[in-house]
Amino acid sequence: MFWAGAALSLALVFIFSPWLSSLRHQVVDLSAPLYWVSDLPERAGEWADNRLMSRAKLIHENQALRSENLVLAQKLQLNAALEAENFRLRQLLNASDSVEARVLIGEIIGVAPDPQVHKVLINRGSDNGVYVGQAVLDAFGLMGQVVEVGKYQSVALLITDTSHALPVQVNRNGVRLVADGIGDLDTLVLRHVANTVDIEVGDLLVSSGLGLVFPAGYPVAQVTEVLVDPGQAFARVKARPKAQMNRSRHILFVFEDNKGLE
Amino acid sequence: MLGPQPLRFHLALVSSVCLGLLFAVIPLGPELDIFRPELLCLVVIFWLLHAPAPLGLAFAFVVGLAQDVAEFGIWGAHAFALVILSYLLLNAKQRLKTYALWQQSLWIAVLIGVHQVLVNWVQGMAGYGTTVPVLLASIASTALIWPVFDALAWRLGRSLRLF
Repeated sequence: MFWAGAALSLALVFIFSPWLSSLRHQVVDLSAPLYWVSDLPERAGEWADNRLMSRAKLIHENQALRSENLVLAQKLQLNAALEAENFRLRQLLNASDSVEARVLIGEIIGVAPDPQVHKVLINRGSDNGVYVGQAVLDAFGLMGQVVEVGKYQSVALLITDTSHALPVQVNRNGVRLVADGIGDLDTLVLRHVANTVDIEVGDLLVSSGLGLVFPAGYPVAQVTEVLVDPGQAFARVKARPKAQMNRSRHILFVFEDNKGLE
Repeated sequence: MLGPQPLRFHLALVSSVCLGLLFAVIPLGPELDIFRPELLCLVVIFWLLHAPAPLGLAFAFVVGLAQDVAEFGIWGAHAFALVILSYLLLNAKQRLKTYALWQQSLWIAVLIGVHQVLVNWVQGMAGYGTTVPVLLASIASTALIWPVFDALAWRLGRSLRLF
């Protein structure tokens, strides 16, 4: 029974103390080969997709991308004007100007196999400048934050994990809330929403930057359900994450040079 | 720990654990994930039942810890559960070996059940909790796979002249 005691004490130390955290960063690279091998079928499929695509399909895809690019470029033009205007207004207010964040592109190479644990392994590590607490996005919204960093790989905790919560804001009116993960890839639950708060189905939630972990202003989720029961102290509000939690393969790390509140 | 065993026994032991670990992390998709059999548990059970060397709880501990590290889980959760499973198994080893395979399957279901509940208990301390259907799904799939697994692994072991 010595080994049972050893295992249990290890688990308790792991959960309730920070003593193992430096070791945790070091073994990220150890488990990477396992995920690399288990990712091989996917990789082969991707390779085949890239090499064996028909000419017609390529031309079609190229056209679609070109038109999408045009639309995005048009939006960007508008954005540039707005950004300049925003900058001038901020100068009027003497507020610190928000510098555009630097990003690094990474690829998800593994997913934690336990359905309860929402963690992903990403092929960028401390060699690429990734640090603990860094925000991870996909093309659609906020995905999670880095919790363990190896030399060449890092592990990110998704915002839908049971142990994760992040401060958000309703984009329409600026109401501040906290979005909890509940272990379901399609659902976030908003904590302590008073019955009188102005929140509706379809509202966009953006990160508020209040926890000093996530940068402010990135889309997080869309409200899908608001249940106001006058008998309860708080309304029950659910939201669906904007990021494609179980589909995105390419993700972005955000580097923040001026980390702080707006 | 293992005594004078041929090199191929050690190789088989290590590679079977590696394959079990690989199966534990291979992506199955959200629908199939809850039915993932605990193949690594079966690997440990198989070796404890059939290995010519006296493998013990230390072996179970190391394998469980490797699984915890590989799955980004709570270190010690699988190690603890696997050690308890092995302890129960070693106590019932002689009786278990006289049973038919389908009867063994029932025993495996009970052992895996204990394993899953213990893993869930330790993970529960860190805020993760699973539901009963999820627990039952993996218990059922593991127990169902045992007769096939045992037969195949036994054949393979014999052809490698391990036993």
